[in-house]
Amino acid sequence: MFRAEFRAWLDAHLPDAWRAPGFWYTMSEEESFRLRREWERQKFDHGWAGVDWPVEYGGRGMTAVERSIVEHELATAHAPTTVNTQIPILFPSLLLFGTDAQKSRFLNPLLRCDELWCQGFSEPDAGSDLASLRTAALRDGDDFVLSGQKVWTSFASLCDWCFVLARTSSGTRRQDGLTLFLVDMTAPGVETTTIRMANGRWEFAEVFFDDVVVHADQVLGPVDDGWAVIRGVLVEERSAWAAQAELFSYQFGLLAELLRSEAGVHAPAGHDAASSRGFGRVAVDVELLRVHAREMLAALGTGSQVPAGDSSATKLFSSLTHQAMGALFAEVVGSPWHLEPPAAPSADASGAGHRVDGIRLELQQVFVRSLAETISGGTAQIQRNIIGERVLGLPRS
Amino acid sequence: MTAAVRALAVVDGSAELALLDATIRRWVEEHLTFDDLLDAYEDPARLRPGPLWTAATELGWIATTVAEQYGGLGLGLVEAVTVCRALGWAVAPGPYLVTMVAAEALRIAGTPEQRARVLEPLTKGELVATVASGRPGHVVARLDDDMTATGELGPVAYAPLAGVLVVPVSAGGTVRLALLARDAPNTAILPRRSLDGTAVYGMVTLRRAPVDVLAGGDEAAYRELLLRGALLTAADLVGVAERALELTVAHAKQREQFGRAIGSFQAVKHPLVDAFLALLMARKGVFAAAAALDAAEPGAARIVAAAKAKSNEAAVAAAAAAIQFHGASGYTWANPAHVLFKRAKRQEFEFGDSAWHEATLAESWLAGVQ
Repeated sequence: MFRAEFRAWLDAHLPDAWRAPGFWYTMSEEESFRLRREWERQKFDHGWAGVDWPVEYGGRGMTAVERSIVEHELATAHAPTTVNTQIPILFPSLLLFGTDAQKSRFLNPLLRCDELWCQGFSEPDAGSDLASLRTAALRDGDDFVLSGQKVWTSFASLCDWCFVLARTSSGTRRQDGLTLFLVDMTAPGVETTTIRMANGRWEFAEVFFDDVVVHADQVLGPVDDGWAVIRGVLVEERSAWAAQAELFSYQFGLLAELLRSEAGVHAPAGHDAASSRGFGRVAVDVELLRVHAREMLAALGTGSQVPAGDSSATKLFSSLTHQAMGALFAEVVGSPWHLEPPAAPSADASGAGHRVDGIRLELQQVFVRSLAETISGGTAQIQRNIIGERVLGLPRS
Repeated sequence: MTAAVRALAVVDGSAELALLDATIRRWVEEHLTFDDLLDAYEDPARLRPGPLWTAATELGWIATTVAEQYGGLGLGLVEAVTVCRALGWAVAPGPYLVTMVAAEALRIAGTPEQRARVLEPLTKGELVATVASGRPGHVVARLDDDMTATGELGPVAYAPLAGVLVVPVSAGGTVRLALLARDAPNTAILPRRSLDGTAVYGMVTLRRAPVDVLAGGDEAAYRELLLRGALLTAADLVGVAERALELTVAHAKQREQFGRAIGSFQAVKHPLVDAFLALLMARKGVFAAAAALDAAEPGAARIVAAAKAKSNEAAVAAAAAAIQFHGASGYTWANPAHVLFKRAKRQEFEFGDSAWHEATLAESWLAGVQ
């Protein structure tokens, strides 16, 4: 009933052109943000955003069962993911650690995408070793004064707020003395510089804080114990990878479609891409990723906790599978994989001739983008350390 | 129980499955040592039914999918993979898995009379059965009008110990499943020892050997039987991978070089994690595939294919890691690593190797099925 209702709403409201392969790669980040922001507002206004969020913060107060239904339907309909990319971290952080005033102030605009958020964790000298970060916040009466630099902050220039991890004291452990701040990107002293990524897109940014005044009521969670907050919620971020399984499966289906369509493949003579073992190998992992995702969604439905090691395993397996899928695209298409498709789809063109080009564009982008997936949100090497130590019980490296 | 053992002994599913799993593993810990396995290597006579066979038949472990009226437990494949996984962990020497697959042929395609004739002695522990699975999809024996079969079936696991063999035969352009009695006329079964000393094979040759065709044993039944064989073999491999990782993780925590436990080195830790990741996904695949087959879901065959391919990878990676990270002692006869490795490499090719299952999945995607 609930599922059917949402599916019907999606059919009526999700534009067909958006579902065309490659569509989201034909525009700038700004344009993509504008469309997706509008979409999230529409979802919100019709009651389909944050169905399991408390009613007082814009949700419908339903359970994780309904949330998993919504996520599954969105993924299979190839609807865009939320433009407020930090929701999987920020929502649980605010809900668990925020003051009532913070929840009332921030959750509703977060969900409706009236305010977009970026994440201020990584620094030039603090990547995998996050606890070594040096951005400092000094107490000054009711305020903190924030100084330092963040980097690899995705979409910083398009965001309104940033949640920043900064050092407020030096504790006995390096993880002690860190505090989370909710920082207004328009505050005096905040500067951003966009960085072009390897795929040509302008997603990364550096964010500079030069004596930025942040009021004490913008501290999220306990002062000096921000690590406890992010340790809990980084698990949530990794669990969000499970929801990607449908997307990967959809993209793998596009690759199969490309292989079926002679027009799409210009493999060298004698190279029988369809029967190559590479395709079957990735198919195994895609199938198991779907099995795993169904389990994760079912676990979400029953409210059971995802152990830290399991979410790291999900992240590692998903990212490696996606990379293998991207590389497979190049393998089966052969030498012209790198050519830009001649007739990329646009918002108003989705004819059959364009579909193959759209598929090529999407898979080409998957290939290039997937290279980042074993780095962002904790590198593959860090995930292996976490699994080795927390799941297998091996000694620390 | 250490953290490592806890993490590896996760049972997907209900408390009943966890109990079944724990019961078998406890029996094995108390009664079956690695030295016993090495004894089986030296003397294949030890592969004949012994105390483990008695326990497995008395407690119904190998009869989970057999209906209660024939003395089985009347449960499903989820229970069967739990058993095969635990027996794989035990590296159990003997015809457990093949007997379970053969019993499935009767469940899928037998008449009530055929079922009673085979399954009643089977559940009592009086009959060992096996399946001449060969290369999946390649049926090499033919059925003639006089209901005799002719052909070189090649190596059949545990055939020298079996009282009855399930044999796929070609007949008029299609496939039939038939029962072959061990002592049927014109049947030659030449025993062959395996590099994996936990198994023995028989080269089976039929020259107009009388067979009993299973009533429902058509091509679809043959495919269903192959799926079940692949699934149970995958479960065996998951158990092998678990045992190999347990031993290796325990060793890596305790063995010190350069003043620290070798498991603290990422050059050791990360390959073990990669093997664990393959094991984790293989195990999820095996249990999901069993549940899907039990529910006759249309996507079940695909999950079986993925599960078998991943189990192959997991078991071989874990067993190879067991040899490598035990160092020189890992290459000694007394170390269990080679026993695990040989079991993994044998089972890798039973009921479809990785290439075969990958091709199955690829064909499904390329046919437009998502």
